[in-house]
Amino acid sequence: MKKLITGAQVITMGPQGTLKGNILIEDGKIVRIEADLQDAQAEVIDAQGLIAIPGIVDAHSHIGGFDLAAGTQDVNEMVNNITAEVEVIDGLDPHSPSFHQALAAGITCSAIAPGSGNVIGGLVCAVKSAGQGTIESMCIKRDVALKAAMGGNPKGVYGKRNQMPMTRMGVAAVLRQYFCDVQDYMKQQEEAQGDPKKMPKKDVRLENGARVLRHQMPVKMHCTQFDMITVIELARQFGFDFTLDHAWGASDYLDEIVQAGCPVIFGPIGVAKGFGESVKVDIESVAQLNRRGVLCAIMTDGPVYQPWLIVEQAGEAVRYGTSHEDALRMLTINPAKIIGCDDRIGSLEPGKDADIALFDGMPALDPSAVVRKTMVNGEVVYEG
Amino acid sequence: MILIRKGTIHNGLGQVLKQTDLLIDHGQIIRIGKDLTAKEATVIEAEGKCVMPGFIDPMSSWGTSAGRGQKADNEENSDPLTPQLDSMDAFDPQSMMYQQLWEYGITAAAVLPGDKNILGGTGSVWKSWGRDPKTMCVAEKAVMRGSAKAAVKKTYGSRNVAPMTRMGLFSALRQMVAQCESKEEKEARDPKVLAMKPVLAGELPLLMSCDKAMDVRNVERALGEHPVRLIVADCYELEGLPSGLQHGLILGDLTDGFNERNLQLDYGQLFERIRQGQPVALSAFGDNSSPGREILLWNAHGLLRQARRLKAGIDAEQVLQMMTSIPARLLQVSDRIGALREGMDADVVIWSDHPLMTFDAHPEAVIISGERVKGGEAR
Repeated sequence: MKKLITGAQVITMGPQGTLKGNILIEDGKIVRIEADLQDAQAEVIDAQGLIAIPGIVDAHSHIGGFDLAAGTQDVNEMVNNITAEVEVIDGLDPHSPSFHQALAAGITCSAIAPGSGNVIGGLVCAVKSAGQGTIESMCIKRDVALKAAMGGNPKGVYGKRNQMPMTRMGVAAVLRQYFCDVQDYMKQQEEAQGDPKKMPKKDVRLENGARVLRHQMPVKMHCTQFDMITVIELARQFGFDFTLDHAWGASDYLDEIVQAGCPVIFGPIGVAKGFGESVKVDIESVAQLNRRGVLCAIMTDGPVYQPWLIVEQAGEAVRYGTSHEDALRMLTINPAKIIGCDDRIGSLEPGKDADIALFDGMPALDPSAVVRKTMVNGEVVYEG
Repeated sequence: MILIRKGTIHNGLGQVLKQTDLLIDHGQIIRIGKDLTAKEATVIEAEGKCVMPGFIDPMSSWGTSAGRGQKADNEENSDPLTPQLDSMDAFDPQSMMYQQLWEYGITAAAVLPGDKNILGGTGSVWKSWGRDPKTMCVAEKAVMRGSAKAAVKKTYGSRNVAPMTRMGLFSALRQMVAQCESKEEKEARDPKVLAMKPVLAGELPLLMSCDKAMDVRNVERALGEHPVRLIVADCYELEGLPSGLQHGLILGDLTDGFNERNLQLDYGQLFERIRQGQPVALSAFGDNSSPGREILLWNAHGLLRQARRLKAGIDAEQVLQMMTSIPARLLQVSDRIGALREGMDADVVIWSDHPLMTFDAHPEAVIISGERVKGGEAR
């Protein structure tokens, strides 16, 4: 089945740049983007006057893991400060209304993470906002990252129970101990030299950490302010890849972040200025980081905010010095790269998934810009 | 004296005056017109810029807690009926100024008791900046805060005390009204009764947060025939709301993703009510009691998005009114703030561009009570 989107201003976020043209889609993939492209067999989707951008990628979300009507959650398994063995995919409801709201905002893929109640929360997966009614049909990657959290959240959970971590010192110690255990586990595996009798008993909790230390996935670090320095130091010590998520206060640590070479998934802003973790909520930092070559993305922390706030926050990045084109990158290709899915999503290029948002108005510049159609795998899954 | 020259004045009442000057003296707007001159005035050139009244949030808790996670001083949840309390006693001007609300165009807000008591006490209207608390205060005891939200039932019901249900909640409200109606001398001296009487007399507006239309009807039933100036707040279920609502509707925070009620809002019906001239105001506050300064503007953006989606014919000037002159009217302070008119307080924001039409807009100069809080190329 072929489809042809005609007449849109196409912002590809890829090598073709921005052009007025038609997008040909076949079997859920983009075939070609060209001015005046025609195909007699294709179903035509008239997008005259609209702006086509790659489906938005939210690199840090928890949607589908909260049942707002019932007031329940399935993303924080707060029985142990380390639950590296759990996978968030098991907590996601594919019928959650959050996915429809995400589509209405133009979000076609989210990296959904366990919450920040534990120091290590479990495996993060990448999920499209539409599929065939099962989470398997929506999930495009099961091991995006191992989620970890610094600071107030795990302190708040375990400190109240008079357990570790009660302090930031405790959070760092818990992480250090975990990665030491992982190193021991890996050493035992190595020493077994393939001899099944000598191999340590398989331990998923440590196995996931071993995948991190083997650079097979990064740690997704919930952190703010000076916690970022603790993370950078721990990563140096154990040699793991990581992303700095939330990253409020990043403008105080620009040199350190640039030197560490880690991506930053910034947001959300819109919280009252306070002390401690919210002393600085500085979206201007993404302009500075981006200028210095740091791969930046913008997130909503859904369902904390309604999904359309992701575009709103990209607009705030523009207000505070990010160029409009770079702000759109922070919604599309940058998060796709950060979560390791840019072979399929994040830009409009031949061969990539036909995940497309058609906006009426320029997103992240015109505050009233609104999604008219969202496509996932070449199917129109939202019309507004 | 400050002379703002040749700006595009968006007066907050729906009018746009191009290439118009605005003269400020002794904290007030003294003249608006073409080609004004004033020898001793500091001049701010505003050609091509948007001159707007400062935004007003009619339902805030700013200044009552140090920030995220701190225990708020406006939540006296030891008794569900505390109309005698006054948020003045909870208000820390420094804490409000710390938020630098003017960076997002906000120059005033009503500071209210929280939403977990049936009657929480009186709220006051404050500027977001001032040299001293006295000049910051626009109106003391401007509004009575009430709430029939589930948060009330949750707060008290979880302690196994009333109200645990709507029955308990509205029974308590009715009893309070009955106490006010009583002729007994003992009742007349009761501080709660003294605080509630101006509400029942229609002198002090009652801002009532409600989850559903049925709660609004329950409130009206409990208040009986008293001529109460009822402002409905936080209610997103418009179907079944009284059609009049002449004293106002305040929408709570529409950006909050954990509030599943705000998703039910029927924007088509909302825009119909606005077109009919019902006073609707925006607020950054709702279930979340410590939003950032960006949220009020984001709510305005959200409304404009929905208006565009539905081709509802609601424009930026109408939405601007919902965050300036309308909240001022609801709070009965429209003689001082909420519009750019001669004789009003000089709470003026000069934006580099229209903040409801582009993200690339900055409050380049902010004037509160006639004093420059931020920027402005002077000469």
